[in-house]
Formats: sequence, C-alpha cells, structure tokens
Amino acid sequence: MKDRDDLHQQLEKAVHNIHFDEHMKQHVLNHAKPSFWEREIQIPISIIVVPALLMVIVSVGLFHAHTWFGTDSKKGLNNPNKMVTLHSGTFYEQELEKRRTSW
Amino acid sequence: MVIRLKVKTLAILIVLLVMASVIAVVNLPSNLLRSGAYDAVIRYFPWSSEVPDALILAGQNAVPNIDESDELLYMMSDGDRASFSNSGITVENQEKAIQYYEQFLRDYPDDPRVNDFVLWQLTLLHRKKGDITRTEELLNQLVKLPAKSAEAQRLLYEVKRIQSEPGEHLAVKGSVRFNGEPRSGVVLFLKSRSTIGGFSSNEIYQSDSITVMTDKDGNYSFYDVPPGEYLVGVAVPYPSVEGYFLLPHKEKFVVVESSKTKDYDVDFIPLMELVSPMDNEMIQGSTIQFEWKPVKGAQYYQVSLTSLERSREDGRIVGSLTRPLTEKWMGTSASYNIEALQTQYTGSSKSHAAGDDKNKAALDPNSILGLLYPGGEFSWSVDAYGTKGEKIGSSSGYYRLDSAIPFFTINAAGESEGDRYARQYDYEKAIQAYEQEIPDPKAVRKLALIYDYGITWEDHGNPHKALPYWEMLQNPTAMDQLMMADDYQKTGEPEKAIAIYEKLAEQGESRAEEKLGDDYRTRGMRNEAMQMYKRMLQHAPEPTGEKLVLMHLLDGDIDEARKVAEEAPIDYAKENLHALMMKVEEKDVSNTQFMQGLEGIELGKSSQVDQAVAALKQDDPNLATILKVLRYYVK
Repeated sequence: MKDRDDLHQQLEKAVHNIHFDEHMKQHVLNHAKPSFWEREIQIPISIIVVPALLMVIVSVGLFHAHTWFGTDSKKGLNNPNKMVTLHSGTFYEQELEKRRTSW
Repeated sequence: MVIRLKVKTLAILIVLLVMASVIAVVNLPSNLLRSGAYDAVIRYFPWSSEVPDALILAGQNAVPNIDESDELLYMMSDGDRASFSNSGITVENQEKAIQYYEQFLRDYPDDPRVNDFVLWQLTLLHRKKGDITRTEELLNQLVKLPAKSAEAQRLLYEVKRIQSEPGEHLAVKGSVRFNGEPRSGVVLFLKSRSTIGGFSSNEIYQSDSITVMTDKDGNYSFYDVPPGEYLVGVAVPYPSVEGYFLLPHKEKFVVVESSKTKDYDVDFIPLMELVSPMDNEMIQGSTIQFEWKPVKGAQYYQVSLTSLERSREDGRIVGSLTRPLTEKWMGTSASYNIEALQTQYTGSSKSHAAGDDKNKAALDPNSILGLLYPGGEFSWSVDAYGTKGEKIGSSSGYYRLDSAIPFFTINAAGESEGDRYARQYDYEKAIQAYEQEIPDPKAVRKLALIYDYGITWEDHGNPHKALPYWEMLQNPTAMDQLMMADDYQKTGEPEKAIAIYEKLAEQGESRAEEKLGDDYRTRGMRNEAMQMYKRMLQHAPEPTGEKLVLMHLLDGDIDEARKVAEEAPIDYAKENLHALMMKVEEKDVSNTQFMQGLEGIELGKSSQVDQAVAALKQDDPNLATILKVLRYYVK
C-alpha cells in the first residue's frame, strides 16, 4: 500500500510541469477508439446551410404545392360563358361586356 | 465556422428528415385535394387514395351537377324561345367532366358513388352532348338501379324511340336539320295546345310528356300519342345552335290523329346577315339607317328595336324594352328619324336595377325617353317575310362568340340636361332640368310621364300632377292623348276621358276602343261593350278577346265564347283563347266557385277572385289557372 502511494506521488511529481492543453486532448482523442455513434464530427456551417435552406424551401413548397399545380376549384363556375337573351338575339355576355369597355 | 455533432445526432436528424419527407409526400395529394388542385392529384399521384375524390370533385367543378332539364335550350317549332337554364358551361368543361366520370367508372367500378351519382351525371352529360350510343349504354345500367330506374326508363325510351314496338302507332315523324344537314342527338317533345300559359322546361320532365331523340340520321318518331293538337319543341345545347335561327314551321301545330302519321320537320337556318350598325357603332346625326343582306324570296322586312337597361352597380344588362317597328321595308335598308322615335314610348317599366330598395329610383329611363334617344344604348334585329307574310329569316337567333353583334349607341351630344339626369336615375334633378326646358314638348311629355309612372317601386304615379303637363302639349300624339284620358278618368273627370276615347276610336285607335268597351262594361252597358270589343278584336285582339270570352261565359253562352276564341285573328290571342276554351269545355262551367271567380273578375272584386282561385287550387287546378289567366287579361 505504501509502495503504491509512493508511486502515485512520484507520478504526480513527474507530470506536475506538463499542461494538458486542447491540442493534447485532441491528440489523445484521436488515438482513442470511441464507438462509431459517439464519434464527433465537424461539419462546416456552409455545408449545413445549403441543405437546410433547401429543406425549408421544399417544406414550404409542399404546403403550397397547389399553387404550382394550379387550382381547379371554381374554374368551372367562374367561366365567362354566360348568355344574355334579348329580343334581338341571344349573346355571350362577355361579348357585350368586352365591347362596352370601349364606349 | 464548423458545427460539431455526434454521428448518432446526425443520424437521428437524417432519419427525422426522411420521415418528414415521406409524410409530406404521402400527404401531398390530400393537401392538393383540399386546395382544389384536383387535376394534379389525378395526373401526378395516380397511386393515391385521393384520386376517386379528386375525380368526382373535378367533374363537379367542370360541370356542377345537372339534371335532365339543365343546360339545354328549349324552343318551340313556332319560333318561340321557351326557356334556357344556362350556367355558362363550356363544351370543353363538359368534355372534361365526361373524362373524369368515365375514368371513375373504369377505375373504381365498385365505389358506391358509381350508382349514387356518377352513372346518372355521365348519362346526362352524354345525352346533352348528343352521344346516343353511350347514353343508351349507361341508361341500360341505370335501369337496373331502383333509385334511378323510373327516370332511366323514360330516357331510355327517349333514345330508343326511333324503333317501333309491336302494335304501336307512329303518330309523328320528321327530322331535325341545320341548314339542311340532319342533326343527331336532338331532344324533341310535344306540348299540347290545350296547355295554358307559358312553358317551363321542368314541365316536360315532371309530367307525362314524351321526349324523344333524333337518331344518327337526324330522324325522330313519336309513337302512341293521344289525338290532339301539339306544338313540337326541341331542346338543344347552346353551342350547337350558334349562328342559327329556328325557322317557324308553316303549320304551327301538328294534328295527331289515331290512324295517320304526320310528318313534321324542324329546320334551323343561318342567321340573317346584318351590315350596320354593328358592334356599338355610335350613331351621329338625326337619322339612323339599318342595313342587312337580302334573304332569297323575301317580300319585305321589319325592324325591331331594343333599348338596354344596365345595373347601376356593375353595369351588367339587367333589363330591356323591345318595340317591333311597324314599317315594312322592301329593300335591304331602313331609315328612321331619331327625334320621331323619341316621341314613341313603350309604357312604364320599373327597373330591376333598383334592387330591393323600395325607396330607390326604379323607373326605367327607357320608359320616358322614347324608342331611341341620345346617349342610349340599343340592340336591333330584322325579320324577313315571304309572300304569305310568313317569316322566312331573322337575325334574332343565337350569336357566336366573337361574331359582330347588332348593338349601337346614339351620340350623347344632342342630349338635354334632363335626359342626362334621367339616364342616371336622378329624377329629382331631371325634373328640375325639364322644368327649365318648358315649353319644349319633349320635356313636357317626359314630366307628364314621370308623374304618371312614379319613380320608385312604391310610387304608383300622381295623375293630378301629370295632367297639367299633358294639357300643355300643343300637338299631342295619340299616345299622349290616351295617357291624358287615363288621367282624366283617375282624377274623376270621366266625361273628358270618354270624349278623347271616342275621338280616337273614330280614328281607329284600338286602345281607345278598348277603353270605351271597358267604360261601357263598368256602367253595365254590356251590349255596347261587347260591340266595342268585337270591333277592336279585328285589329287588336289582345286582351279584348279574353274580355269578350269572359262576358260570354258569364252570360252562359259557351258557343259564342268558343266562336270568339276560334275567330280571333292574331295567333297569340287565338291560341290563348283556344286553350282557355278547351279547358273550359273539359270542365263543368257551372262550378260555383268558378262562376264566383268570373263574377269577381267582372266586378273587379279581387278578394272574391282570390277566394275562388284558392278553393279551386285544391279541387280543380285547371279552373284556377283559367281564372288567373282571365284576371291577368281582363283587369
């Protein structure tokens, strides 16, 4: 037991002047063998931003997809082919309106 | 700059992203459906469970649900347009709806909506299109469904009626032609001559009427029709009649007999070609000249004028007043003095443009401004007549998209201030302006008319205010004098009114004769009244014919009433009276309620008539209709 305490004190003395800085930490980590899932990776932010932006655009786009495809709703009801029947004939309303604007 | 993260964090993020993408893509069709992009769902996501809904919605969107009577133009072989329910469905949309429903039928034959909805809509769309083969195929499926069996049987009968069944009598046959070319898929129906009043397209589908369809050669047949006189009606989708006019048949009615087969062809001919004025040409100067292309065999032509009324809110056409001009023109042009046409007025018309506001000015400016006036907008048509006075051509038909249209305006430069205000429905200012224009007879006449007609819906006019203006006119026209006489009657000076009526009656003015007849009738001078009505009947049968029939009926003289009905010289009144008499003869004229109703009409007791009509509606609706028709003409 005493031998062990002595060994510890000697070791403390030996590393007393050694500073375990970031570089050394990285060096140790690089030589360590952590599990694959725990491995830390560094991704430049520029590589993240592009797909993130794409994702946002696509997400927003999916919610507004109908605007890309065009909405059919009400197309049928708003079509301009109403007729106007007068004694002088039956006419397309849009014809009457089209010409009216030129008055 | 870098971001540090563990592989497992990145993996979780990627998994989440993939899941979100999958969810988004899977839900995309549903989103599209909710947003109304039905076509996109059908086209780009054919695997999606939303496709059946998309097909139905897309079909309904292209053509809102139609029923048998929808979207067809109904008209009678005598040239009368009957009714037209049109929601503006294009041929393209119709084709689209057919495609969607056909796809639904093909891809989802077991969906309950096939039987509930798709088959019926698809059948009606194919029928409207005139595709007899497909219509028949679909009807054969529909006939097996209890819910639609009866309607399908009737329509199946319609498309198959070109072939006879054993033992059936072919009553009427003929063909439908467009400029001489046979047309298949046209629906025809018969309307009994004894039917009183107007015609609604629903009638033929709600009653026991028979409808048939022309075959691929344009031929049609009616089998086993009860003997009688019928008008032949046709129902066609609008686009197929564009550029055409239905030529009135030389025999107005087809007479069905139990042992004979009648031939009755229906002909559509191209519209008469108009030259000018067209496409809102502005007329300058004091005369207007109408020009058209000649019609082969035409002996003379007659022009009709229509003045337009537009909504004050959105400027759309909401009403019109038409006056056929009496002049017969031998050549291909007609010339009229605009100022002279301004002195002719068409009668009071309260405007639809006023909406529901009872206090808003509702008097249609066309009522006071005359047949043509500066600043106004108009439409016109011309009819061509043959040697026997029969109509052989007309410009009053169905116009194409992008074709020139017979509309024109009159330059507003010569417009008076009063007229300008009247056109804007500002009658308060119009009256002030017209007062300033006195003694100009045009302004005086308009003031009298405004006071006679009243400005709002509630305002029924004030003859006391109108009379001084009529009296102010130096050279009143016959119409002016009639209006003045009416005002004398309303203000308690009947002797002055009678004097005017007598003077005008001597000049052959039919409206004065009628007024005199009414006056005699009111005073209990029945013989004199009948004599006056008979005199008028020869040249202006409506409404005197009805009045005479009423008087004969009250006297219990059915034979004489029938004689009047048969001898009325003008078609419209004759038909009305004829139908009336046929109904009367079918019924017991001694019906107490009916006789009380007749008496109420004669004495002007409207509550008595209402009571009789209400009672008869339950017991005998036909007699109730007769009373209503009589009241309309005799009031």
